[in-house]
Amino acid sequence: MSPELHEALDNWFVQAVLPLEPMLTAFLRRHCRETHDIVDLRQDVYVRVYEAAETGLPDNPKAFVFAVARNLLVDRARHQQVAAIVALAPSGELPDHVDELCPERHAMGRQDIACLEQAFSDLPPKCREVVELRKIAGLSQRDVATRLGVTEGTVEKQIAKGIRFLAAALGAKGSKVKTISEPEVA
Amino acid sequence: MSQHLKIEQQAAAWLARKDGEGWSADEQTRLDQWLALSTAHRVAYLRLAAAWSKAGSLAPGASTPSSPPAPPEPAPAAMERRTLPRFSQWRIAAALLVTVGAAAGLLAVRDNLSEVRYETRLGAHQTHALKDGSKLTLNTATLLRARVSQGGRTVWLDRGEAYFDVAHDAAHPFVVIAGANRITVLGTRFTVRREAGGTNVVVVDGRVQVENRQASSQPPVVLVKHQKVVATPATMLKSDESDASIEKMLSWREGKLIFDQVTLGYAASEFNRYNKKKLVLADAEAARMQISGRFDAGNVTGFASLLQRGFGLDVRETGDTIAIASHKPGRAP
Repeated sequence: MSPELHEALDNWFVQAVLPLEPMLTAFLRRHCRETHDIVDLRQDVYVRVYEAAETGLPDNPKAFVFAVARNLLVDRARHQQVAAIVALAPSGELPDHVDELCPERHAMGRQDIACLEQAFSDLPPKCREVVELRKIAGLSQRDVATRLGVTEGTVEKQIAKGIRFLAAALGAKGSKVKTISEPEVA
Repeated sequence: MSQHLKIEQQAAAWLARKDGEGWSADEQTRLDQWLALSTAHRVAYLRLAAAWSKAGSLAPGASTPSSPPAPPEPAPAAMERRTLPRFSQWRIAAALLVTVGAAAGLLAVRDNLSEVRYETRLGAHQTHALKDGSKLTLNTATLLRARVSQGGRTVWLDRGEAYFDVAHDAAHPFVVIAGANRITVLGTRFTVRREAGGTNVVVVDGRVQVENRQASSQPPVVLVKHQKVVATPATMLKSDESDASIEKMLSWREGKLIFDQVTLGYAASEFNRYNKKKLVLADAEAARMQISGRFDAGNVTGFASLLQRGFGLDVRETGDTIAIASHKPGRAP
């Protein structure tokens, strides 16, 4: 696959698929009783969606993502030989109708900002200090290390942790369920 | 631990590594290989990279709920989307982030031998290449000194305005001193303009950090592509700019002034930056008139005659002054 195609696909994925994450997470949560499986399921959805898109971009990314999610849940249920509840769910139950009404899919909305602010304040204290100096004050990792009197390796580790917390927080945006927890990220 | 969590940890480690100093071509190759190894790696990386990039929107001056609603075009996320290709955003950020404190020490010693002085007269604009490969374009009536050495790259903008296209060299910070403000280049292309009230910095591409050298309590402001800061002794006001307004702000490099619904008062002050012959507005009514258009910065008489013919304004030229009044020619004294 050419780098250009990857680049286009990466962009499409970031713009059209990732913003659906809060909705996708909520959907998976409704249909999967084992909470700890949800991040794995979501990752599998992303992999399938990305690989399918390599052969051609779907016209309606949202319908496509949820179709993939539904198929995955059905496969999984079959595999585990449990009743496939999802298979019985009418497609109208999927949040398709909100599709074109989501401006925040395309721009950083106030909701995102509020969600980020919340996410920052939910970071573990040490991690939060590092991430804020790096991302809000704009210091380099090296300067953060000097400022806090720790090694650059420590700063890098805290940044890695912070990135995962922030991604989890953005993915849970709007859902009442707290999805960021130490065990998930640690 | 689930397979996915392991991949996510690896992706986060790559991203954090890349966010730090000393990211090498070799590491980039290894990251590319890791990404190519499986789609699971790639999607996990993209997801974290997108979140990390978004997190920067909380930096001072970025749109926040308390600021007035941003117009849809220059919203931070929209810009991020445009700059996402091939992780270039992170590559640039990782490669060019430059230490904040380092510049201070370097500035203490001024090596006159290697200092080069550039000056433009009124109405001129000129492009010069520095020996590191960076290019400077000086706008009208600008005085600038540059020192490029092993120790670093420093430019003093003593007056006027300049556009900088900085050659990548993470080991040698590129610093612009504009009066009280220090601009540390973390990226590539930007303009700096000094005015009586303060300094304006507009970033065309890359990242730039602006700080007030005299007020260390003020946190530095980091600007990314298409952002502008107006730095006065007391404040740093950051804003997002549209493609069109960036184009307008850079039009001087082609010797043009582009106005879009500005007052005649503002247009006159812009023309006056470039010409010996000064436009003077005789009354407030004329100063408030809205005008738009694309003009040659040096052709002030052409502009004045357009005001006369097109807008029915009273135009009188005396020596180096062109007085413009809103009186209709018939009623003029």
